[in-house]
Amino acid sequence: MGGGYSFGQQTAVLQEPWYKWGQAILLIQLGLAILQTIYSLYMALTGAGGLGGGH
Amino acid sequence: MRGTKTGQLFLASVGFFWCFLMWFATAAFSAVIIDKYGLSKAEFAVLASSALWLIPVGRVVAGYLADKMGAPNTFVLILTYTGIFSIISSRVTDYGDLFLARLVVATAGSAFVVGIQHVAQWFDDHEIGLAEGLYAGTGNVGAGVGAMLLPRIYGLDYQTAFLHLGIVALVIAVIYKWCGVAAASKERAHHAQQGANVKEVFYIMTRFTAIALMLQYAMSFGLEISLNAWLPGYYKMGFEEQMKALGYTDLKTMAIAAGSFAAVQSFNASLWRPFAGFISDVFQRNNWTPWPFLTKDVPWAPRIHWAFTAIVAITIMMVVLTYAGLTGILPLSVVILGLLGVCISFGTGSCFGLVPIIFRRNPGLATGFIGGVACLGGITYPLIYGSVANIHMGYIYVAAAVFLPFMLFFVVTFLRGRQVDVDSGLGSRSSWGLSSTAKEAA
Repeated sequence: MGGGYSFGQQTAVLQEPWYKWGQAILLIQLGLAILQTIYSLYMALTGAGGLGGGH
Repeated sequence: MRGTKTGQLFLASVGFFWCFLMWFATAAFSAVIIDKYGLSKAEFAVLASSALWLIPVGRVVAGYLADKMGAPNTFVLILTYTGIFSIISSRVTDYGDLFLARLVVATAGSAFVVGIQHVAQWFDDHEIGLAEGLYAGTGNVGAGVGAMLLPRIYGLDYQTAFLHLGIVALVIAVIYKWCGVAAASKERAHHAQQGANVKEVFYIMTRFTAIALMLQYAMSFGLEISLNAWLPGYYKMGFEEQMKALGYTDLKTMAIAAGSFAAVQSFNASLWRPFAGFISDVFQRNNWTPWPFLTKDVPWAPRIHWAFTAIVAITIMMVVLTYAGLTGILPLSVVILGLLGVCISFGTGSCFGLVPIIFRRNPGLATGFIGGVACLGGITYPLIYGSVANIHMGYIYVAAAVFLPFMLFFVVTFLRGRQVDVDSGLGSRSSWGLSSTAKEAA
């Protein structure tokens, strides 16, 4: 750190194995967000209750 | 799980997810609570904003404690007392008692900075963006999951929900105590402990750069949490006729529908957040600086431009959300809310693409200030939403009265041609009683 705040330096480094599945989880999260939006839009258009919605 | 960084990331993410779930569990049942206690729009606005009252101070204190006594111990402390108060809130019948108990439970939201510190103590610079993104994204979505699932699982029985949430919090606290390790090495933990200094907290709080980023975060994360608390009630009150026409006639189905619509914002704002960090990297790699009036002279200027782009988009979407509400077209409002959520994620992700870079020496303290004080936005906005005669107009009022001045401060701080100095602020290091050897390298 060298004391004090410093500006970021970007260097090329080898990623560890966890990084790959971390990126995969990110994509799954994006998919979840899109699916949830479509599902709620479907509810707003049709009045469907969905799981636990009761009608 | 002990001793592996992925295990610690998992632990922090689960802990924060549950804290977020408890934080906004009251909002998930707001339709039921409004009906049971006969709350007016203004009273509901107070209840919605109360979830955030203690967060600004709580996060600054939590950040300090995380450095001082380690993130696992701080997490255990937060999970334990909020879990106990969640159980207490399930047993009270008076509205005043319920309000006070939930006020304490809501401090679970302070856990954000604890997990940020925990993850930072285990991951190196080149991988910390993804690690923090996974942590924050997974944790934040707890609010959306709560809004969507709690009314489905528990129906109108919010008391049983609060009881179960509290019990699980206590179980997670035990697991965290058992498996949590403060840092990858004892040296790292010791370094953080030494860096926790109250004077340094006040020094960071008075830097113009930190204030500008805090205001940017208030426009993004502050807005996100204000909407978490506000939206379920907003859809019940603002679109009641449209929802009844769709068949959501009784309180339970209306609560489920309103919660699902509200969750659109939370899901998008949370789960797109790591993507926003990725775009910040893209701006930096390509040296994109689209705004002619913002600085291009600092190495991280492209990230500043991306952060500003995000808050411009948020402000525009707030105006559009008001328009969608005024049209009375429910599906349009849901779509716009989703887009607003994505823009909010750009704001939160772009902010924390900058903070660890600018404040390398005290990321925990800087996170505590920026992530904590920005929550004041979450307290203020619901009060504005609830104070206007037309419930749909609140968003445009917040955009005009609050966001435009915040953006102006951001622009002035990072104005082109002006020397951007991270140390610039109220008073020098020595006047705050700090060693000048740690001065910025700007």
